[in-house]
Amino acid sequence: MGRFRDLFIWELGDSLRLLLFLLGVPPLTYLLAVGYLRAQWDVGSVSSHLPPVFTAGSFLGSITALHLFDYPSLSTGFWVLLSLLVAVFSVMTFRYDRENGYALSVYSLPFGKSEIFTAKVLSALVLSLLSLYVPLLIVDVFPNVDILEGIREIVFTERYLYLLVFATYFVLFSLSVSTLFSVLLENMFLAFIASFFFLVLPFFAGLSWPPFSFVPMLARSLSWASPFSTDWLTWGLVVPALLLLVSEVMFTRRDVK
Amino acid sequence: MRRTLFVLILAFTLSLLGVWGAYLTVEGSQGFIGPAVISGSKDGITYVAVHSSGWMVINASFNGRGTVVVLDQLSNEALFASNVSGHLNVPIVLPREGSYAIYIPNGSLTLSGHYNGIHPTSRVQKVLYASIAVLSFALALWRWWR
Repeated sequence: MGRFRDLFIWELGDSLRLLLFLLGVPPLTYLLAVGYLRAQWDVGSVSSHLPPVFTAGSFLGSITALHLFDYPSLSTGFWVLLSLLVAVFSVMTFRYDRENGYALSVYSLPFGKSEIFTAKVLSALVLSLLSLYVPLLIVDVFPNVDILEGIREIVFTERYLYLLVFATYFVLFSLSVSTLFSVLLENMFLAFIASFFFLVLPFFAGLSWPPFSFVPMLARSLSWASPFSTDWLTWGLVVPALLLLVSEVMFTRRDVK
Repeated sequence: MRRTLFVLILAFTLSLLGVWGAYLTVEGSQGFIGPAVISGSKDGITYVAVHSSGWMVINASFNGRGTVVVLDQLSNEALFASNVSGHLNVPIVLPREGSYAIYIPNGSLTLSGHYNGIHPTSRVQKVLYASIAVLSFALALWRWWR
């Protein structure tokens, strides 16, 4: 286990990927923050003579909670950039070492091929999930310092967990598709273009295909749209797992080239 | 591992700069509240709920008759109350982020509003700048000590 940990940490510390992470996350945060910094309004009706006042325990009913659930799905630039960044991470993880020759030295070390694959996938997954969660955390917390108590109450609920699970499905699906392409194709550029065509182009064409079919569901998780229903579980967890399994088989059965 | 952690903290710091940049971008971006009809009687009220993401001014115009009130729904204080007879054009300041309700206890009004950008409150500015300063200082120290 110690050896695997060394390999994983070595994969995670790859300078080029860390540089891309460093260049990718601040723009992602910027896009998400621009999406957040708007006013949102709604018409409400009550049968009393005063509008509702939200004290501790009832913040989920406020328009602030509605906005917190709505803004991630409305900033589409964030999701386009995130899927491209995830594709870049997995393409860099699986192809850069082969095209620059140092993969052969890694393979001469006493590691199994599936061990190497697992370390690579895990390191790409960690970077991708961080580039999703760090912007979300920052944009939820920092512009709302005055009402942090209410934000904390909204964020630590089951429904916000649903939102996070939908967002995680987005990353998992993008990662597994681009991993498959980077194992399948023998060129970094081809792998990236294939992932781009598969992940982002349907969205530009106005089709609601995964992973972009997860994005509108983020807002609907406020009204208890569950990510654990069969349909979403299939597209968000089972299909990525299958794709990763196929990639693993291809990775272990093929020569290093 | 140390390098990964360093890059992670550096990315966090630069992301805070990204939030700052977002505030600079939305400073002049416009938006609309309404138009909407708000009304109130002894049976109940129809109100407009507004989420503000910071300090902002709504240039509101009301048409109708009655007393319009703006309520901060999180701290339960009335920020603004004015009598409208016919037409009222007034800037309403929403002092911080949160939920606000524009309502009329008795009568009926049409409301349309326009805002010219959203600004960070002084507390948000302080927290943002202090976090950026502290994190960059810590990173500089770490780099220097190694």
